[in-house]
Amino acid sequence: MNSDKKRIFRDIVLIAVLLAVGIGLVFLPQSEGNTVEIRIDGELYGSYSLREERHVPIEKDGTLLGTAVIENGCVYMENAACKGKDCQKTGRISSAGRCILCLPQGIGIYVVGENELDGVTG
Amino acid sequence: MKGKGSAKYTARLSVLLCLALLMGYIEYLAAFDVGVPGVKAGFANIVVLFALYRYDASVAFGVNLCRIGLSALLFGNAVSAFYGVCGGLLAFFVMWLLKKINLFGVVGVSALGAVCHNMAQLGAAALLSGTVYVFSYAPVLLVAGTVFGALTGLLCLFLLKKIPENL
Repeated sequence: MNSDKKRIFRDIVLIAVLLAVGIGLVFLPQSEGNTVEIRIDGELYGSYSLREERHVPIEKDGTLLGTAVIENGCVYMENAACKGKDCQKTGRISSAGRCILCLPQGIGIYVVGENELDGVTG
Repeated sequence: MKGKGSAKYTARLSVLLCLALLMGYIEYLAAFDVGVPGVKAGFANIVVLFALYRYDASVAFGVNLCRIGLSALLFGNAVSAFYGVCGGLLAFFVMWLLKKINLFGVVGVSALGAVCHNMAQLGAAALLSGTVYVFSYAPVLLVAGTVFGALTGLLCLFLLKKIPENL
């Protein structure tokens, strides 16, 4: 019985620690990004400023795979042609190091900061 | 546990596998979206965890592996199968190890298993996309894994108490 109680206590501690680490990481200060890089299967498709509002149609062999919308210093995916639409659900991103991935179509939309270091730590 | 080839063993494995598949299907139907890709409740793990605690690792492993393969065939594709295998195997290994160590209860084991599941899938995403940027999702997935893992662990604990042993 006693060891059962100990285990429950350890469980609570474990969960608290995991939550604390996770929440701490979520609120870690993030550096602002300034450039949006779009890649298809790893190949650079285009690089755009995060400060200029624009719609970037992402096309491959004449087919529209989706549209990257840059707006108010954020970027998000629209009209994705994939099935799951996980890329659209990712929503708006703006911090350096964040990305929107559309794995079925091989698209990656990356927000890049001042230098690559920001990109990795963000 | 009686002989692995026995009818009882096979029947038990089949019933558990059915339940695990159903759990996965309910989750797929409910498609309850938190808005973050990859965040799921992981109800199927209740069955795997139950099998691990009530019976033994071989039953739990069988259920887990067959469930991943079958659900990929039924609702997924090669990519989702790859994610499933990465997450499922690491999570299972960790939960099995934690149970052996006997330091934590079902809830803690479930939470850590879920976290490992999510981290393995992030690793798989990093491999598939060829970029470390995906790890920017790690904090959210860590929190989600802990919360949902603990919840499914609690449900499993409840079932372990309520379902009679000699079933």
